Amino acid sequence: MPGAPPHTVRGYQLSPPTEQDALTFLARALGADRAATLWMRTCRETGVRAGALSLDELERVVQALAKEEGPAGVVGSSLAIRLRSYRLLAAARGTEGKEGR
Amino acid sequence: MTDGRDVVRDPERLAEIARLGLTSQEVDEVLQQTVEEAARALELPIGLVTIVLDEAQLFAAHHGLTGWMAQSRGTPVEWSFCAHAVESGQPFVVEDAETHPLVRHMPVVELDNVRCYAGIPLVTSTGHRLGTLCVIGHEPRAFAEQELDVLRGLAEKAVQRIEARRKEN
Repeated sequence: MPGAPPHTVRGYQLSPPTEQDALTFLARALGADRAATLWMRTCRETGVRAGALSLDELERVVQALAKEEGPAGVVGSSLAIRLRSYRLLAAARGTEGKEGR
Repeated sequence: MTDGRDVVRDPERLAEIARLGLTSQEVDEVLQQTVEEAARALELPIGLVTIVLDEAQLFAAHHGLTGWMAQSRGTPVEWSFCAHAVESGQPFVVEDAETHPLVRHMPVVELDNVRCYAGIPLVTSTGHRLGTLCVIGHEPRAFAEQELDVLRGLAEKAVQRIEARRKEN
């Protein structure tokens, strides 16, 4: 995933969520077609290009998603917590691992 | 037949969480008082109202948390003791997390010193399990039935407060 830190948090073995994670979680809640449409729309409205998001960009999209009504907003909140947890733990403990997930 | 993870990921349950406005960043004063009361009553350092989302748990109210968990206001769902209560619909009690087969592998046990836990599922009038009212300690500990009754009462109070949001919204 271009731009996404590939490492896991030392000790916790937690990776940051990816765009693919987001699409998978959304598809489970909304169905694949609605998930893809919503993801593309949210990326566009956030001013980023889907498919090549940095972690900062992913965070902006996820925060926008968390404001959606219904299950989509819950999935967005879930992703936001995973991302926040990763960032806080990575800052405190450092990361390790190899390229890719 | 659905397994526990299916319950957690059920879109209808997620829709109920959304309808009740439970992903809000605002901390409800009544829920806050409830977690403080739970921790005080069981003489444990941490009390929480958690909402178990699809891939994370959110702390809707918390007392006694420090460090990254307080800042993140949640954890990934795979580190959630509360998810077990949501999956089963029953109270989940861990007297010693280091030896409990369902949680001993979680990094929060060793690295954040979560050692004992008791959580009561928060079940709405529509039958959806949202999360738990729970207490956590840093030493192994048994929980008496009387103590679980106290938690059940407080969980009921938390659900009433949460359900009131349905009328307010």
